[in-house]
Amino acid sequence: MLLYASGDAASFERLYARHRGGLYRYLTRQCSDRSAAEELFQEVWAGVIQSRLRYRPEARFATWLYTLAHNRLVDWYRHHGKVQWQPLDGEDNDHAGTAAPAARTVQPDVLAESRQLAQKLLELLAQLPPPQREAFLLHEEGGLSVEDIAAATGVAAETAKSRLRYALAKLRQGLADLR
Amino acid sequence: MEENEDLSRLYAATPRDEPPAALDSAVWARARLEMEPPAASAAGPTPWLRRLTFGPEFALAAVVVLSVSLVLSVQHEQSPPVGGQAPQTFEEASSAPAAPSEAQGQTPLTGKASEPAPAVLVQPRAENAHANSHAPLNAESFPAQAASPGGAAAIPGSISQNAGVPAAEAERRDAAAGTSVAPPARAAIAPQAPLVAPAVPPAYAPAPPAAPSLMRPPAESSSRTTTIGIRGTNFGVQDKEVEQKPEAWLKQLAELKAQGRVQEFRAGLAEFKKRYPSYVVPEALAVPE
Repeated sequence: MLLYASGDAASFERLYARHRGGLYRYLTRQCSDRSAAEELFQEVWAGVIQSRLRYRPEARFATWLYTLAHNRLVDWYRHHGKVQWQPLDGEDNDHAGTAAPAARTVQPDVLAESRQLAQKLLELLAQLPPPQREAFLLHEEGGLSVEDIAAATGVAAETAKSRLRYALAKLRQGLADLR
Repeated sequence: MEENEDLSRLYAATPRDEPPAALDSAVWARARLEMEPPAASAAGPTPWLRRLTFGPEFALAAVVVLSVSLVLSVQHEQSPPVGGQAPQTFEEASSAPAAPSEAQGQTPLTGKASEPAPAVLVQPRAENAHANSHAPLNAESFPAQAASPGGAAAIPGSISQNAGVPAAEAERRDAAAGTSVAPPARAAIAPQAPLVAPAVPPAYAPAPPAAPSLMRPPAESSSRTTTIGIRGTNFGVQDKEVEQKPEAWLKQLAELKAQGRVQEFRAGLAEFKKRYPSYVVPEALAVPE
């Protein structure tokens, strides 16, 4: 990003190629409207382009990129009144040591080979509360750590950790129910 | 943690949607556009040209000032001379500026006009092409006008090159060209007057001494005169410089005398004395008996 800010256009293409897929899936799976997701995709990259001169490497580029995406997405949710982007009751108080939803161990190798399970995973993901789904997507698509998720979403690290744990537990629970 | 890794692998097996190519192109185009220098991407004029751009108020003021200046300049060129050395002659008195419309409706013949020899010379100024274009006002047309008792009311078509042009129109055009001829001047020309229409510009009009007042004074140039009917007559004065210098005028008169052009010499000398009454004419230029 610093290279791009200094005028290296090729560095932007490398950045874009690295993050385009993850960001696109993050937005399309958070936003049910694909056209709206593509519009948000352009807006996020436009924000990157316009903010290149103000960019400071205080965090990973991916964290900054998904922070922009999160803010756009929250605005879009608020504007369209889709859902209330509010934490679920008790989720913020759920620390790492507290009990998560019970999940049975699945056979990953078997599940991975099954397209049906993968499709089921997406369905379960869509059923998650948006903050939890976002935490999962940021972790999987953006490769963000719990701290990065907290930074990108503007919540405490414990909250981000709790969201992620809840998301993983629910997904495991849903997949276990198939068996 | 191992469970999380298993779930991550399962998620990685889900369809990997990618942004369409159009979306990629739009983002790249936006990035390239932002990378271009602002001066190159700006559609407006260059900075130095923008600095030269005047406000609408200044432009409007400039247009008004230029328009007024142009109008005043044109009016100044068209206005008759104020003051000057123009002598108060009979011609001027009889062709006062306010008289033309009135004179057109009258029979302009006067006593002098009926006299047998009010020789009229018409010499169009060589430098005035517009005056030359009005041939009927020159020597060829005057006999026809004079032949008619009614003055300009009846002009035979055989002689007038502008027979189809009304007199008022011709005068208007003349006035526009600064070479107007007042109607009384036409009447002042004797019907039988021998006309001389020299083809060479320096030609001199044979005017009889008895009617020198019919001739236009030298100071009245054809460009802005209201003098009666004779246009371009300058009595041997070829240009304004000579016209305004008595010495040069006398020199030309002396040349006329030396050439034996007595009639022209007399007319010119009479006009000179009229123009410069206090000027002592050399004895060499005495009028021969």
